[in-house]
Amino acid sequence: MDIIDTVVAFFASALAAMGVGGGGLLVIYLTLVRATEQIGVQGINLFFFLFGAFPAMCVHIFKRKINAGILLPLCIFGVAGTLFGYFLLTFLSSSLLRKAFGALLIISGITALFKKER
Amino acid sequence: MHLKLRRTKSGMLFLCLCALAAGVVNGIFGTGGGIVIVFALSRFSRKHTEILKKDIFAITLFSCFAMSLSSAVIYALSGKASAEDALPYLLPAAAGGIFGALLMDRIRPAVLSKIFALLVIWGGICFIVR
Repeated sequence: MDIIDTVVAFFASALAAMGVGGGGLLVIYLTLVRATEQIGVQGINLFFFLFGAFPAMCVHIFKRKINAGILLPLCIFGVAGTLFGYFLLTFLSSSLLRKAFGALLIISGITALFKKER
Repeated sequence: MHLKLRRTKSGMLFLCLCALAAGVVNGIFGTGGGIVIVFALSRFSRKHTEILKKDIFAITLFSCFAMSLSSAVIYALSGKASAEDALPYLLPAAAGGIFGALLMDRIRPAVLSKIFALLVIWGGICFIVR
């Protein structure tokens, strides 16, 4: 890991904490620029997100309205979904995973690009 | 702004299904669940309650944390990830998280969002064609 990796990790985490996005930026960087295997990068990205999100959550918890009635079902069904998602992952080839992730990035990029600010 | 919550069965069912879909995306790709949650909360907010955009983001962050924690445990237990591999990225991640959260109220990230969107589209094309 060199200084560029550190800078990318810092800004990807900062962008994610700002609400701009950035969750997948480290996956893009490590897979496309560093040519690391995608499935391993996804694992790194999960720990990376947890460490970036936790301090951001500590800041947000004092400044925002966190509605437990909405958050709780999101967490319960979200966690259940991850189990099913991982089950599906075991059936995906690395090539299909790569293309599917590419499609997800394009969809999310286009959505963000044309999103109207309310 | 006062948060008016009018939870209907259909609204909550919609949220739960979207959360399930977000979890599936997070489990497969190790990221991306937040996009689905933001979409769901924005729709839900318009119909059922008044939630500020920054509160939507905070709820998304908390729910993504739960999903990512679950995914990280599953990935680690199955040997697809280890905290050791992620170790060099954790300190810049934590510093970036604090920096971004503190900066959120001071900037209007509209332009930054568009640049980021273009970068993500480019990344997506590269993932498909390479």
